[in-house]
Amino acid sequence: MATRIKEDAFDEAAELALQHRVKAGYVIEDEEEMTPRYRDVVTNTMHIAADLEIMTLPVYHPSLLEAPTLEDRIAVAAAIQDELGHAQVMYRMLEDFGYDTVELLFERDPSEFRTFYMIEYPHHDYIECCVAMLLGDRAGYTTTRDLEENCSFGPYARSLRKVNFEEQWHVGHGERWVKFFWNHSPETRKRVQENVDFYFPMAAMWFGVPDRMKTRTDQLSYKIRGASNDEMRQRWLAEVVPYCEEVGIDIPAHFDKEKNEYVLDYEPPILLNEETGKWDYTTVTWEEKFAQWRKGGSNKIPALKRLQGECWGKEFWKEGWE
Amino acid sequence: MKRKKIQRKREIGGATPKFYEVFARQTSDDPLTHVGSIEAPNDALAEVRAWYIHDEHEWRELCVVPTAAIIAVTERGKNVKIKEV
Repeated sequence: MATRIKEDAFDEAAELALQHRVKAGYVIEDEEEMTPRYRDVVTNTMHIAADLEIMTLPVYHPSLLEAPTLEDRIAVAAAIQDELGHAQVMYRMLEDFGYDTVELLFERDPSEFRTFYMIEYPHHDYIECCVAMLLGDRAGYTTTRDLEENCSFGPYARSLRKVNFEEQWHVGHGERWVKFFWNHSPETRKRVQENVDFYFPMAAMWFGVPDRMKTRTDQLSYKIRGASNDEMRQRWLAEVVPYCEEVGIDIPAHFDKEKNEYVLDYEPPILLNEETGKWDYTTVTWEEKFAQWRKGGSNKIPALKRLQGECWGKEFWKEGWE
Repeated sequence: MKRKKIQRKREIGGATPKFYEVFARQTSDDPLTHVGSIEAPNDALAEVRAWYIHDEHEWRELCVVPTAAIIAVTERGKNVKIKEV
């Protein structure tokens, strides 16, 4: 488990020297080139990435079972297989830093997994899955594209070539079938809109708090990534808003010509009403928002317990899925 | 809480994990390129995992090499496997 090292333990001169080197384009290949603080921030980033990838498996699984045609099932199964591959790649990199994958996956308490609210709810059916690919996979893809392009840790940047090559298919799949269901029937259109209403505010928060609130900026100082939270949110909006406007889907965001940027039609943070599954667009405090994140979505613990408790081999077929 | 019983010996093949480097090319004109690294308890499972994890392209050639077999020439003593030119 990565632990935060005390600030005063750092050799500031060495830390600053490394920040300058990576900003000048130097790519780190080996642990011995890292300062303690660099090691800390890069392993934390990879750790969260690994947990996010593994979390998608139980989240997408219900939609695999509910997919209406064989082709859809194959598509969802392929996406789940991709995500499992991405998780393997991420945990494998952590092993070079002394992490133990078996322990991380199977012996860790589910509450310790570092997942995001967006993937702490199950994708019940295929329409929900496609909307989640459109909005959520795209949010992840926005982050991983930035990392592939900018990350100063060579092995991480290179590992994302495969990840991004596959993620573009998930996003494309989402775009194609969301449009299909939007135009298919009034009932499927309603379902698309309901799911967009549910997932849009979650995916918009994938990138974290606004830049003005950030106190730790090590990811940027050490060029683990290139774009800030708000810059990545803009990139995501720049893809999502035109797509939804073209298809005709209502989203709470638009392009503001005066500001020359995309803006949300509400003031974050807002809270999900977990009883009704609807967002309350009244702005709350960040403390309230953080509390909802800490508590986690309803599927987080059950999904991870299932991952850790489910049997394989003969037992797997006997137990089935509930 | 019910958990799977993980047999470490079976999962990782020994006291410590065993790693393999994955190399591939898409056409016979391409250089054989490092595409990733995997953990596997034995050679047979390493083949399976390489195939399973690195199926992003229809490779013309895909192979695995035990990481321990790689002799570092320019990066002696480091973990670096592949350094970009």
